[in-house]
Amino acid sequence: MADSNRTDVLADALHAMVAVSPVAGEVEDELFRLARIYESSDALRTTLSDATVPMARRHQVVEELLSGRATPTTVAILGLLVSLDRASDLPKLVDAMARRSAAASNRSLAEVRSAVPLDDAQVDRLAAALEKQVGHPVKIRVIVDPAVVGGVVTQIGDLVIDGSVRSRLAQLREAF
Amino acid sequence: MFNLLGAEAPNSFLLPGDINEFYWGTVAFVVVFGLLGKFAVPVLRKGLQARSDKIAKELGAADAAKAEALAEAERIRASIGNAEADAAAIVAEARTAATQLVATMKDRSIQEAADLRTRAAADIESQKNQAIADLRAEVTELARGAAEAVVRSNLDADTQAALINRYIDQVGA
Repeated sequence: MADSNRTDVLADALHAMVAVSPVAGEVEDELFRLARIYESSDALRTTLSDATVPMARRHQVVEELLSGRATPTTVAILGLLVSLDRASDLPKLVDAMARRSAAASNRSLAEVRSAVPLDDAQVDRLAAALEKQVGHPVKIRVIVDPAVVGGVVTQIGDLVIDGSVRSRLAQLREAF
Repeated sequence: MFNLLGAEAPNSFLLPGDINEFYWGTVAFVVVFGLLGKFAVPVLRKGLQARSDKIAKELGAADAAKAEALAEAERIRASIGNAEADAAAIVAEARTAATQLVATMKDRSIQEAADLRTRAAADIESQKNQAIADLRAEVTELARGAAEAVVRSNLDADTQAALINRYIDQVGA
């Protein structure tokens, strides 16, 4: 079986696991945040993905990292990926799972990057504005990214709406 | 007369007292004179002739040598004249060559100086442009850094919220 097929199968399985959870939305948010932490943390990537680290040690790290801080479903999903030695696919699987979740509710997934977290009112207003922009409902995932400096960058599929201070500074640099 | 001259005094100062000595002396003189004329004079005459011939021959040789010397002197004078002409031609040719060389070197120096000026001007222009580009890049970097610093320092929570809200408004517009 090709690796992309395995990823799709695994994404479908994770989506099914999340869908049957009574706190599906919370699990999705936790997995999304966990994927971002995994991307930004070299130590976490090395610990969970290094085949030389014993499997028991990797499970112990998962427990220490998430116990009491995440839902049991989230802990179980990450433990499953570690057991399958697919922890390195966590960001890719979470994104695929989020797209499936959005598609299941007839919505597009909007990845929103901001230097500071958005409050609920801002998320709702942004969802409405994006729905008006693309013509159908969107599901927003906020990523706090200090590199944005200020403002917001939204990506829906191939569409990118960049209102960040980072891009303004880049334009300023180009202007010289 | 001979007797007279010698008869009276044995001690005559003109003739000997004994006239026979006179006779025999005359005979001996004639004989000796004849012998000299017979044998000595031809030899002397022959010797003188040989000497005259030798002198004449030597005089002829001297004349020939003199003529040859004069001819040689003439040849030398002619050679000297040719050498002077050749030397003058060589000097003239050398002067011409030197003049041409000076002219060539002068032209070449002028061209090289012009090339050097051109290259120096190009180098100066290139270095000036590079310096301007470097300065512009440095100023740009400083300005960008300063702008980023100013922007970041002014991005407090209210500003961040305002930026987000304005973004939402623009997306929904």
